[in-house]
Amino acid sequence: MHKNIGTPKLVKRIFFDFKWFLESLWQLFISLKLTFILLLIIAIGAVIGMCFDQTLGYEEFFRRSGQGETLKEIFIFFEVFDAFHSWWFSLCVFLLSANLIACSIEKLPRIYLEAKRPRPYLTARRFLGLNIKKVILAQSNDEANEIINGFFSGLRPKILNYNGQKYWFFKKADFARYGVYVVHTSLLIIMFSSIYATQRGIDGDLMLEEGTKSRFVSAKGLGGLRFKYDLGFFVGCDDFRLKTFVDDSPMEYESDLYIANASAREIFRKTVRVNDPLSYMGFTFYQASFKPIISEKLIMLKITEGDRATIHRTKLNDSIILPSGSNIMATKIYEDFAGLGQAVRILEKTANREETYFHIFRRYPDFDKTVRRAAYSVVFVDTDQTYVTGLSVGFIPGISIIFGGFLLLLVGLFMCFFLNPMRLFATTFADGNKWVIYLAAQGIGRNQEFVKQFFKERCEKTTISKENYE
Amino acid sequence: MNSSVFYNLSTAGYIVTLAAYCYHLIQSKKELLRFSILVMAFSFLIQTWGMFLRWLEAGYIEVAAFEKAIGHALSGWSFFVVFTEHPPWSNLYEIMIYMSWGIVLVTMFLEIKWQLRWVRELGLFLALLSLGVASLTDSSIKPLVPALKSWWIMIHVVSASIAYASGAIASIICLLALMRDTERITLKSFASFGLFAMGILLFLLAGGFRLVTDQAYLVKLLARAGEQIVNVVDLSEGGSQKPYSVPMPLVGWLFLLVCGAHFLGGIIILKNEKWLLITFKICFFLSLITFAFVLGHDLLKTKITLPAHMSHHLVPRGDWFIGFKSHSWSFSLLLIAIVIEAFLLLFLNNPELVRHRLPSTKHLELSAYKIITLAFFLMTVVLITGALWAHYAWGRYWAWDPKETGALAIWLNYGIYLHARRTSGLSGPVSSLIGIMGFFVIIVGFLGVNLGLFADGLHTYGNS
Repeated sequence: MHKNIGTPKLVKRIFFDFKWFLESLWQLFISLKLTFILLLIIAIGAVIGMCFDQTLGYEEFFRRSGQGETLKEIFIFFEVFDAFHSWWFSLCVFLLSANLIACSIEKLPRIYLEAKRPRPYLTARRFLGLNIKKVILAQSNDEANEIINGFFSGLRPKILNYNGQKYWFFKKADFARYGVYVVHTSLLIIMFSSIYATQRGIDGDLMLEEGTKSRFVSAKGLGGLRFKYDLGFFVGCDDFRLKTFVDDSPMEYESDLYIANASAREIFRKTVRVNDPLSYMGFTFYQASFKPIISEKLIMLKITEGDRATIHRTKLNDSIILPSGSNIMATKIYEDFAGLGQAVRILEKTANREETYFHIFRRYPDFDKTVRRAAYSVVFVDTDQTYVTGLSVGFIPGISIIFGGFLLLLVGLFMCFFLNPMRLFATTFADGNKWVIYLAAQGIGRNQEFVKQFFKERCEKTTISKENYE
Repeated sequence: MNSSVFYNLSTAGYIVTLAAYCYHLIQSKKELLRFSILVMAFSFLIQTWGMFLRWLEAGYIEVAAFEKAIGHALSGWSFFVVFTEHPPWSNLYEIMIYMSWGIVLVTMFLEIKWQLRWVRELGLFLALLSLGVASLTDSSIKPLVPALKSWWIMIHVVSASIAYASGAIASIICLLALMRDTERITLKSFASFGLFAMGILLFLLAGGFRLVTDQAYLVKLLARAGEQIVNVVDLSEGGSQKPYSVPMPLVGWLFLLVCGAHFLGGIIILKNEKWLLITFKICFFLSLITFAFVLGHDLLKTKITLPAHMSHHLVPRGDWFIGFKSHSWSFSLLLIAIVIEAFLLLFLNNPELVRHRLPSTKHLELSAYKIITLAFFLMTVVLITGALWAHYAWGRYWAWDPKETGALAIWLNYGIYLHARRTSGLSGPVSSLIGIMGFFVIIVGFLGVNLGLFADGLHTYGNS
């Protein structure tokens, strides 16, 4: 385009010939080569970022890697500990979107005009402009019509009259010409809404002990730095349940969550499971993990004295004082006591400091009442391990726009790859005592070969044993 | 009958097909081809039936475990949900079998559509290799972890496997397109570039820069624990329980020699075309020797003794040795590299043998393009379903987790390919090269965690 000129001259030219500069810049941004290079850098960047642990954050990353000073400087410059939010990655993504927008602006009007006004008449000029074409000779008008009908067999072309001349025109899946734009638009939507979501969104964790509530979330900020985020309302967990398989691997776990407003009044509740979150005010709470609190196993005992029954939740070695003055204390839990199932050993201290042990079984609630026959009876109802439920807290503004972008992307790709827009043209002229048939087809860049093949097959089918004009 | 019986039957069928295909290369008879296609289709059906059986087997196990946990029998819709929630692609063994299924599916599709020589042979080789890797992994069925209990797993994994399979097949076609291209590519540049590429590949396989600094090809140490063969675990690092690696005797030096020879050979061919064939043969011979050494160590289960100060914190104790299990991934990749190099040598030795009966370059490039559009579309589906699933399960639609980023890299690679095809000057051999690159990006993305290239993130279930 322009000759290679020295740097001072280039600077001078940019300064004085601003229009030229803008023009060159525009040319740069509408070139596919730029797309190619940027995509290559992003792909390589993705692979490099993959090789470094991105979850550590700045300090942890350098504490673990223990690099030399020079390498550390390079790592810091390229921000490899947070590669996907680094300046160079963001720059490439930004340039790519500029590239995309420029390309669309440059090419969309032409495609729009082309799709809007198909120019169905196969005039001589049009015929020259198309590159999939054929000319066939026929002996009479009827034969010519027959050949053209054969060419369009099963397709239902439009038959148009223009200046006393008859034209055949057929188009298929014309809207698929916009496929590329749908794809690129959806990518832009996804990119920008994702950037917006990362800037404005909250990505945090909340560890909630059973029976507590909290309004602060530990959120992850730039560079992996954590900060406390105030939700403005309370999230509480009443109960956490873990169902396990026989080998104790987790089968399913769920938490009973409730939301309470700033003055601690409960608003609504929901049980969340893996793959089934709770949403409130744009925040979504996901069941992500759990952690047992060691030595916090609760035992539920039902104590009946006379006709009064009370339920106690007690920890191991916590004593329960009974109205009669004696106190009892669970000292041990057996997961399986001599084949009789779960059992608890109870230590009874009477008022005059006599100590006796007895066992109660979960499977046999009447055991204590019938066997010991004391002034009171104890029933072992249940055990309950106390857990901390691990919730992921996400606030992603515009997530529905991102998902809409995904849908649009799929639609666009389908239009691009699985639909074949195609136009077929035909007309016939009298030339002396013969009739000349002009046939032509038009595809778009990517499906040119397909249309060519289709056209060839159609021509061969209709014109076996017909001589070619050219 | 058990699903593994059907898997073994189908493996045997694929081996017969591959042998018949190879024989067909020498003696092209129509009946032979027809026979091998029939055997392949039949084995494919057997494998599909095996997968179906495996689904049922897993279903019974899931139901039994569930019923035991909740204490009463399931019925109706809840039975159906629990019974079907464990599809036969939820752990590494199943994924590898499923990958081979996908590769055979794509190969058969191409057989019907274009009947390309070499594609079916190399495709079947990849399928068999994937079955071989599966046989080294744990085939037992365990109940699914909660995060995998989602309908997304169906569409997510199904499209991933077919996308990877079609990407791998497309890269074979791209290689053939380069070989067929007599106008734009000289044998000299092909051979030289091939040697450089193989050199880099072998260098990365042998451990990258570690090879230069330590001259060692590291593999995991194994020991017997009763009937089973297990990794030896190093308990010294504060109980981090990492498998302990040892250098394979002599192989590190051999790899260094091989890589050096490849780079030197590339330069020699560039300088003087006369020595093209002999240089390539020497390089191939050296790689073959290295491979033979590796294979020998694995087959003979070479015993390893370590000095006492290094070994006192290794568990289990006893006779330590190395075998296929100590580097199953790099071994299969090494096998792939050797087969690629053998194929390149076969081509350079007699180009017409490979080009014989191949369609034109343009046709091959177009075929590759069509398959890559399919792979690209399916990769998009994989990324989108992955993002949706992650959003509903973990609350993050995108977390730059290594496996996610790997899938993005594959997608970007094919995006680059599609744009290169539309750019003047890049639409020919350059785009074919990008297509071939796709294969390696797929391996990095798909197996990176297993190869130890990066720490595993959220996709740990698939890597047991």
